[in-house]
Amino acid sequence: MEKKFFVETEQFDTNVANNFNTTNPLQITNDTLVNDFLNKTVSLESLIEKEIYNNKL
Amino acid sequence: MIDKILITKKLENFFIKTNPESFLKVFVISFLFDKTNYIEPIVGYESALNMLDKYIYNLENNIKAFKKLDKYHSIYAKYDFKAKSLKYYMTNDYKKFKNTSLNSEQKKAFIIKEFKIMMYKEFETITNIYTFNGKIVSNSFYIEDRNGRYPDYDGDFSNIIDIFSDVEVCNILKLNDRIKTYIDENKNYFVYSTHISQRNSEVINYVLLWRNFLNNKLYYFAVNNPKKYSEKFINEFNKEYEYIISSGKYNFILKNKDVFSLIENYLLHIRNRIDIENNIQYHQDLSVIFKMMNHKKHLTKLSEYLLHSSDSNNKLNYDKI
Repeated sequence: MEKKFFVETEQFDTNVANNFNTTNPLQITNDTLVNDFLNKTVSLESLIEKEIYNNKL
Repeated sequence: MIDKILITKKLENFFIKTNPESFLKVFVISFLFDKTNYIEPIVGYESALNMLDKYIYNLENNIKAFKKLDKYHSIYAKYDFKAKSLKYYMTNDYKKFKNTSLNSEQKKAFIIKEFKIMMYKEFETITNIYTFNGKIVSNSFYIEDRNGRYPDYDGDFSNIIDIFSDVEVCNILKLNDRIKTYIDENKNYFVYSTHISQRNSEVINYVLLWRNFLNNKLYYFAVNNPKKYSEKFINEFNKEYEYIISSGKYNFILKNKDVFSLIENYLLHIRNRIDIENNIQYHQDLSVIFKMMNHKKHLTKLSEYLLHSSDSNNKLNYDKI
C-alpha cells in the first residue's frame, strides 16, 4: 500500500549533467577552490575559518 | 550515493547566473551533498535524485545574487525573498554568545559551526520554496489549502517552516548539543535546544520531537510534492492523534479543531512572542500534547524535549499526564 503512494516525486529537468560525462569539475566551474573541495583537500569548515579569522574580520 | 561531482555539474547554470565567490559555491555543493545523502536512505536513490533536481530548480528561481553585508555586529545569514538574494556577514562574533562562558578556541569552533548552520538553514528554506509567475505556490509542505494554510513568505506558516528548516539542519548535521534555554525572566523554567538558534531556540526541540511522530518518508514527499501529499501528510497525523482533543482530558488554553493545527498554534505563540504572559502555559500545554501522543509511541527519552523546571521540587502540571 505504501509503495503506491510514494512513487511520485515532482520532476524537474536540471539534467545538464548528461552533457558533461567526460568533463571534470575544474572545467565546469573553472574554480580551483571548488576543485580542491571536491578532491577533499579542503573542507567547508576550513574555508569558513579562513574567511572569518585569516581575513581578520 | 549521490556524489559531489554530479551535484556540481547540475549547479553549473546556477553558478553562471549568480557568479558567487568560490567558498559560496562550496557551501551550496556541500549543503546539497549533505542533504541528499541524508534523505536517500529514507526516500530511495531515484526519489532523492528527483528531489535534488527540484532543490536546484528552486535555487535558480529564488536566488539572483549572494550579498555580503557591508557591516554587522554578528555572524548573519538571511534570505530576502523580495530581492531574491541571500544576505550574509562573517565575523568572529555572535550576539547570542553574551550569555555563554567559552574560551577563545571553543568560541572559534562555535562560530564556525553556527555560521554553517545558519547558511544551511537558509538553503533548506530556499530550496523548498516553489514559485510560479513570481508567486509562491508552495513553501515546504505548505500549499494553500481549505483549512486556511498558505505558503506566503514571512507569513505564519512560513514561520513554522523556519523551525522545520532549523530542525532539518540539526538532523542533517547530527547536532546533539543540549543548550539550556530559559523561557521566563525568573529562570524558573527551561527547555533544551540543539543549537543557539536566532529565533527558534524555545521551539526547536518540540519540532525535533514532532518529527518522530510524523511519517518521515511522507514528510519528504509532502515537501517535494505538496499538491499531492500535503493534505495526506497532515490528515494522517490528525487521524492518529485526534484523541488528544476529542478525549477532553486536558483543557488547552489555545483552541483548534485538530491536533496538527493546535501544535502549529502553540509553536507560533511561543516563537513569535504572542501574548507572552502565557508563555509558560504554552510550553506546559505543548508538553502535554507530546506526552499524550507518546501513549502510542513510547519514546524513551521524551522528557528531554519537553519543559523542565529549574527547581526539582516544583512539579510541572503535565507530569501526571
